[in-house]
Amino acid sequence: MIASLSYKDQSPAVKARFDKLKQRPPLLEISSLFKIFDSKAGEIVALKDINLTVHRREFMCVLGQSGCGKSTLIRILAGLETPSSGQVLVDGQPVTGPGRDRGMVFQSYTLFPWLTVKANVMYGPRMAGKDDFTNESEARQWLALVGLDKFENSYPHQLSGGMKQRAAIARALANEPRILLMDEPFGALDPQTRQQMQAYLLQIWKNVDITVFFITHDLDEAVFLSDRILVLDPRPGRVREIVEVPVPRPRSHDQLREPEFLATKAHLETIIHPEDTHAAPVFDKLPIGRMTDVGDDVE
Amino acid sequence: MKTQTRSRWWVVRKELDPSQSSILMALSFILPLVIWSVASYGPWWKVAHQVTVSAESPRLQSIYSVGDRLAPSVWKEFSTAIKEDNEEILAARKSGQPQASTARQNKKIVRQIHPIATVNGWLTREQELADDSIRKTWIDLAEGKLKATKEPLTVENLGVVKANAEMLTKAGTDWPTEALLKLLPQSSEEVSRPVYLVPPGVVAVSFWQGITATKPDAGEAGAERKTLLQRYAESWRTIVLGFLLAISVAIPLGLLCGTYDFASKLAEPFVNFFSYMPAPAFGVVLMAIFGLDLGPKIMLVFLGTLPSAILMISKTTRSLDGSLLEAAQTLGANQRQLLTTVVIPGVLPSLYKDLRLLFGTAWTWLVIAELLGFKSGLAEIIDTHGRRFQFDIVYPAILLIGLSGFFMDQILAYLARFFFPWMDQPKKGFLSRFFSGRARILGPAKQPVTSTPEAPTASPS
Ligand SMILES: Nc1ncnc2c1ncn2[C@@H]1O[C@H](COP(=O)(O)OP(=O)(O)O)[C@@H](O)[C@H]1O
Ligand SMILES: [Mg+2]
Repeated sequence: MIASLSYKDQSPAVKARFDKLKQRPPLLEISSLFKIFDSKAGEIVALKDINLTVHRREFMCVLGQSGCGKSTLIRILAGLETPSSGQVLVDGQPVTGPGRDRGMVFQSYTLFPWLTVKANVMYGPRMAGKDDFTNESEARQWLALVGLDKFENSYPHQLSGGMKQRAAIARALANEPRILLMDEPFGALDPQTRQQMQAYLLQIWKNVDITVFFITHDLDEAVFLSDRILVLDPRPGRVREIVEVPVPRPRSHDQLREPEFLATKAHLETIIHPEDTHAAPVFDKLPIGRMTDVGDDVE
Repeated sequence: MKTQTRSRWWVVRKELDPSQSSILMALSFILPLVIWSVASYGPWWKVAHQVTVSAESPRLQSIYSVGDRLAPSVWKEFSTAIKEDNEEILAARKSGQPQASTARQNKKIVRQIHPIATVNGWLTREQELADDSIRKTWIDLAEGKLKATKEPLTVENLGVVKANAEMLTKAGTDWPTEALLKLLPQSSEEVSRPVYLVPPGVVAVSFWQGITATKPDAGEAGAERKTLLQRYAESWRTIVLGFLLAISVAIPLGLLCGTYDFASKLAEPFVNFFSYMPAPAFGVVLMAIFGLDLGPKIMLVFLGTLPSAILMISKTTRSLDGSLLEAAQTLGANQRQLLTTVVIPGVLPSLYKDLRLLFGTAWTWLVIAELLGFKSGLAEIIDTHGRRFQFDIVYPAILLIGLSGFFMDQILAYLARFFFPWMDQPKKGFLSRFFSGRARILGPAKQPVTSTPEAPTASPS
């Protein structure tokens, strides 16, 4: 381990990539965004003065503890929630409500259970009034892209969690959105499936001209996937830092132990869990006397 | 582990294995039947012997006449006394010194047959003392010209008849001077249960007679005569029409209330209030509006079902997973499309379940509805025969309602798997368990896909 390596040290290739990225037109612009909820317990400032620009084809992650306003932010971007103040522009157009230019994948499985996988993927184009013949052949292509072509006639309840989320991604992509919003889409999956899905998502992102705005509270996931990570501080939700990930692409899970990866993760840990120290348990107050009686050879 | 192999019956919130479940589900019906049988046939109801053929004997303190109810011990004493009398007469006859007897005494014995003769229609009630006619009856009986079908004579008594007839014929027009044999007492055994406790056997027979009857039963005087099945069909017509009418209003209204807050706020408070006014209370109003025939009956079922149907369906609609609506919105669905492509297909299975439940409660309204105006259907049977305490006729009608409601629900529950193949169907019902083997062959595969050999990122479930 090279202890001296900082997450800010970027290799020339990575630096070049970031320079290129920043020259692309901005796809998503968030400016001085506030969200305040009125609840019984008083006002909750869920988001406080969020400013962010995401460029085209960028993979952006939002990282933060639960309750720091990640979902609120992405729901505002999707148009499912209105900001208290501030503005969101997608492709230069202000967001006023849900729209086809922003696809969304939720953490809970939101496939329509009464539609087959294929019909789920065709849903968006159908709502737009496109003809069903093209919809169907396109849906097949999207399903092939996510590796579900064998399951086009299955119902969602027949699929595993990972397959459901892949179908949900295909459904969102079938609408050909400019940006894909994902709110902890792999949060409910087991670790192994989760890694597979991450690799898979990067594959899709490589093949499709799309910007990804991805929410997670998993450090590994954020570092593995993203170009930049927006770290949110909780209560009120505000930008702590925007971290540029120095891990070169193409990525694989073998990089999980490489110095850039570890350095970035270490830095994220220091800014995300600073107050975790108070939780050290007081062992001598616990009724574990009998356990220590077992013997001294227990380490 | 030893404890693992033994299946346990009492575990908090744990489903039993299928064989255990089947046993218990069968028991759930068998136990009430057993209780009913034990209550009816148990030894706690006094048995009484109602005398149908009587006799007198000097051995007895009292005289028992036809129609008397005797306790078993008294009955036994009575029968043995007469038997001993006869044995004495026969013994005397055998020894060559038959018992002498007056005409008066013998007439008394001959008259024993009178109750049987009246029951069978050979003699009238007034011919109680018409000894010549009665005497003829004995002879005809012995020759086989008459045969007691209504209140058959025992084999022993037929023997007595033959023996006595022989003596009567021998005597010509006179009365024999020798003692005649006495008819042994006969009785019908009666268990003195309370009138409402009809034993299962009787109900079963009555049920069977009811549903197989082709001739109309004797209803109330002046009322139309119909068979049980005709009345049953009437009941179905009333409940189906009333129910269909109710849900054709409640489904659109409930969907609207569950979807749009506007409709909900406008309609639901009043509907909620209205549901507290019991529908039967409007019976008289309905009769005033719709007459006395089918109209008020259908409308009562309608009125009883409607408010709860609206409230139930709107609640069901509201409980649709909101994230599905949000997902549809992000996919570009507009307001109208949300209703037609998400809300309606999404609530269908729960709506179906609601309707099943509502149909079940509609039977309650039916029974009240059928008593409005001209009584009709099964409720008429229950009402008219119930007033006469003919519970052996009342119970089959009640049973028919219960069976109809129960099986209708079970069948609908079972059919759900064909209407909604996209649902994870829990095999809970009675019928679905019953047919589960067949459903696996007919229905689409229900098992979730566990492996994806083709896809590179196959995920273990
Ligand atoms: N509809 C709402 N009404 C009131 N408070 C809300 C609402 N939605 C979210 N919040 C609050 O806003 C904060 C951020 O929530 P959320 O965006 O869901 O966090 P995260 O997704 O990061 O876990 C939380 O404190 C939550 O209680
Ligand atoms: Mg969240």
